[in-house]
Amino acid sequence: MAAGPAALVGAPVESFTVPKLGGGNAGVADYRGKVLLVNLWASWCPPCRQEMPDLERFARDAAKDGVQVIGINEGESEQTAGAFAEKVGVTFPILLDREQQYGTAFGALGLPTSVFVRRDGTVAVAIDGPLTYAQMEAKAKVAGAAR
Amino acid sequence: MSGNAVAFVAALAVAALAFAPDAFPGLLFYHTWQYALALVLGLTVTMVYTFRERRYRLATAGVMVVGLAALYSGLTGADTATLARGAGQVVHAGGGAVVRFPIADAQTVRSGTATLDVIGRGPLRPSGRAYVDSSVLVAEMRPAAYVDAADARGRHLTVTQPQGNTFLSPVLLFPGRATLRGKTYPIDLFALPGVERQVQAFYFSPQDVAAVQRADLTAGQPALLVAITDDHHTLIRGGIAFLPQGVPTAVGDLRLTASIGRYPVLMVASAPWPPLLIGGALLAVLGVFVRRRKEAASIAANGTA
Repeated sequence: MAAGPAALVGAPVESFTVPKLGGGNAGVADYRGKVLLVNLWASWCPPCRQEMPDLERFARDAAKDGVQVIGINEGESEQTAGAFAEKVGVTFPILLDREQQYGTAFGALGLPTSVFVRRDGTVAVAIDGPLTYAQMEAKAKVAGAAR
Repeated sequence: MSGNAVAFVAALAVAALAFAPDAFPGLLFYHTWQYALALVLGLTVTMVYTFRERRYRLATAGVMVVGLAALYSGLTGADTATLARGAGQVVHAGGGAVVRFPIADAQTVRSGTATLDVIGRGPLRPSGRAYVDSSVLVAEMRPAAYVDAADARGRHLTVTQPQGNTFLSPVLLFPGRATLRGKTYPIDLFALPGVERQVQAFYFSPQDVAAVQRADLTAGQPALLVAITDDHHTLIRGGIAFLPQGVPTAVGDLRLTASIGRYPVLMVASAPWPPLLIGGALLAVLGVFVRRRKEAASIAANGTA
């Protein structure tokens, strides 16, 4: 039996259209064509809170290399997710996955879970647990980031 | 009993044994040596008669196809297993089939329409079957509930299942059993880490609901009985309540909604490939028909068969 996010590697990333923080709807598929770092998180999760500043820094630095970071909040309300994102100063898009479809589809064993997606939409790397800035850089390279 | 009658009974026995795994899939008997021996004996008796009498050879060929298909599936088909997995999970079933469990929303769970996907072959609808090599895949529907949780201020909360198959799924599958006042109910657990709450949920079928006779529960509908504890496993104030089907209900400091219905589990069992069985059976019937016509024509022409 395939278990955990690592089982996603090589498969096309699943996409569900959900509300986006700040208005509108979006899904991972809307960002296809870029190397993606899709990060599942929730504000109650201590490692997610710890990882988020590095994720924001990476999102700013790697944008010029064609990497798009997408945060997917798992199951919380817009006000809870929004308050935390504002506090950290998150600039990358946050999708509000209230029905936890992404968490389920990604086989998340816990939070945070990070999935790196190649430009062709297939999963290159999927990691359970928090990443350091250096690990984000290294895994993005595996997924085809320029640097 | 004439040789003809013995062969006919043996052929019928072979057919009954061969069609049984399709009619009643999942019995352990199909993997036993007794099942294989019974098929071999039935085929042998039928064949011996055919060689001796030189009659009904086409019909016997049909019986052979049916019997050998059953023998092959009994020996090589998947062992009987019931696979319960969380939404989005993938399992390798018998015959090389890969099956994905569906990601279900509240409505899909409530209506019991969540559909297993046999990857590369298509959907396996509720109570439907798919044949792969010498195995059959059956989608059996079991009790399930989609849970939606909010705090006292109405803020949506993440549902997790630390002990379940899928951590981040709000779909409960009730794998356990627990006894309340002498009666056993399906039970599942989930957590609301955002507010440090853990919830035990007991599944009450419509019959169980009828038995408790509560005005806040709808007759003919299932319900959940929930018990909420904090991180120290202490029951919270007002933390025990029934959740009627689809109705947001205040329980302690939470607001819970349960959409209760069914979700598939996958039963895998050995079974002969139906086209082989049907083809063999048709061949057998055709063989009998042809032989009878031949004999009738012979009697008409010569006065003897």
